[in-house]
Amino acid sequence: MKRPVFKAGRALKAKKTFHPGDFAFKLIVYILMTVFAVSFVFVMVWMVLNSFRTSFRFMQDPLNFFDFANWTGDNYVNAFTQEVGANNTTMLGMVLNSVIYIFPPLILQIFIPTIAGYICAKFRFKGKTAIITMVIVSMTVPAVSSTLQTFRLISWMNLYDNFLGIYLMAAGGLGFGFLLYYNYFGGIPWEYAESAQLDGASNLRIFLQIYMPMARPIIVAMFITGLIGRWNDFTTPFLYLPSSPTVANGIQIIFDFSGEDWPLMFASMTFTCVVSLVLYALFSKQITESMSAGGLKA
Amino acid sequence: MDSERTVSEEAGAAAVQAPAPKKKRIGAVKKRNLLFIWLGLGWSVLHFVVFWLYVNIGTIVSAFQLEDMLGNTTFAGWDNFLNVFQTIAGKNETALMTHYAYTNTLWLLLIGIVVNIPVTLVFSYMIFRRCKAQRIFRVVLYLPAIISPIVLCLVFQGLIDSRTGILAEFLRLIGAGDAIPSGGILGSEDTAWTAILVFSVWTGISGNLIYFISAMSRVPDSLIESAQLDGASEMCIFLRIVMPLVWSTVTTIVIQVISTTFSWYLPSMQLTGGGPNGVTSTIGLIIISNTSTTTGTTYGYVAALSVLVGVIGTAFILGVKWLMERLWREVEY
Repeated sequence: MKRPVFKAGRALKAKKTFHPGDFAFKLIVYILMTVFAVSFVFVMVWMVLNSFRTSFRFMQDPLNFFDFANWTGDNYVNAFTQEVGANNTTMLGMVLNSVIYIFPPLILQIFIPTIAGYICAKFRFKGKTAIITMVIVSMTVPAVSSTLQTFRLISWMNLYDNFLGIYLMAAGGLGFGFLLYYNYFGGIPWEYAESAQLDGASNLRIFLQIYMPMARPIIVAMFITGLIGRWNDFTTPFLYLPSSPTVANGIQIIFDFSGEDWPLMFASMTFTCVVSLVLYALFSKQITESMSAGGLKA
Repeated sequence: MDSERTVSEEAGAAAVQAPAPKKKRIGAVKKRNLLFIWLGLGWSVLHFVVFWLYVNIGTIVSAFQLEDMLGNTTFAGWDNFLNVFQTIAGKNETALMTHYAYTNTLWLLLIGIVVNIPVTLVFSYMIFRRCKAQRIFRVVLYLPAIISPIVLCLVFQGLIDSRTGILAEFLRLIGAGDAIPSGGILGSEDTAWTAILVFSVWTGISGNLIYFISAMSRVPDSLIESAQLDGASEMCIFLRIVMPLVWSTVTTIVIQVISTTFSWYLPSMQLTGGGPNGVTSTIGLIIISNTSTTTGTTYGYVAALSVLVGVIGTAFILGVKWLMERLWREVEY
């Protein structure tokens, strides 16, 4: 291959060789990316525009999205006021259910794996290797294989259709979060603790005041992904909370309840999306930061 | 921070340093440490034993039992497993338990690995190399990961609805309205699964985009620049430099995709309910939809299926991992 000869100080870009294969590759990928991106945006716009139309107008002329003269906010009012499902829940009730569903487990999921990961990373004791091996093994087995029996267990504990059952399931310390914290704390030197120990600090204080604050990037990342993930989660509330539907479940119930009233559906879906998007917009910087900091190495 | 050392070395070194220096107090410190260790870990270990160990052993036990409607169990030997294999062979099919469930899951695995991940990888690469409008692409292509899966299902359902959906309207507009099956796209045996596969590709980019971009951004610029100086093509940089360096992330994501494919059920449940005639059923749908309602004989079937998914799924994952770790070995440096 002929090597280009360079003069010092010239911009690197100028030396790029032209490859016809590259052009085709880029063009194809670019078209594909555009198709995907446009379809996502189009679908969102289609959903939002139609959420302001009456069901009647929509049925009559589905393609006339820009029917601004007949726009109405009724779908949103209906979505929030109509009672659906076995327990006559309104959208407002579903939002409340979502909040109760999201936050307590999120706090448990932050604290319990942190301390478990910290202890396994910083102390030597019998059974440590066994614990870590078991966690890695458990991560390899597809999660769906334990769904059936977990459900039986929760029912047997009389925690079916009870938020406490959700909290109990979320309160485990030896999952994905554990491995993140274990790796992270493993990379932080122990010297901080030694000097604190000389000052008479207890193990708990060393953990809470020195090491846990250092894990802030991961804690923040876990919190945000957990928050969005739980807001969007369908399966767990679907299986375990039939009479307290969260918003993600609720829109499916509204769908079954309203039959083919698409504009009403679009209004409920738009609301759900707006919350997800606002959460993401608020925290997207932290998500990217914590990833580039090496916190979430997938 | 000394990041060069491996985690286990670090942890080991830390543990050696852990006891306080004063000899007299070693016993007390050890006791205090042990108390802290087991107070901090005890709950997690108990939780793991109950919600992982006990649950999985329970599944295995149930897989060998037959249950009547009252909940009494009898030993069933391999009967439940035989039933599963019979369905795979296309015999004794009922409701969701059809051979389609198994072939469909294989389809999803294939598409996930052969289509979705490569597509996500080239998209990530383009964004990483700062193609035009990369900021917009970064946000828009990430949308399916932010929006609730149920919303995506519903909106897709709205799009291809045979009466008011855009696709149907468009087909009618160009005079091809007859192409819509009489029961709707999702109501026809011929088109339902294809539509769901299209959906799985459409939403398949998901959150992995961000993982790949962040892995690629750790590739040193100097490597790419020197390759460019040597006249390497963009494709060459992608395949020979970036891919080997992000390969471990790719492996992790592939494993994750395989694992989640086994529990893939929501689009089938929402769009078609597994129908018509079970052609859109999946393994995940059989397990999830029978979880809360199952009594009697289906219980053993679902338990046996869960065990098979656990065993075969894990073996498959380990096999893929083994293969992928060897595929690009010679290029690693």
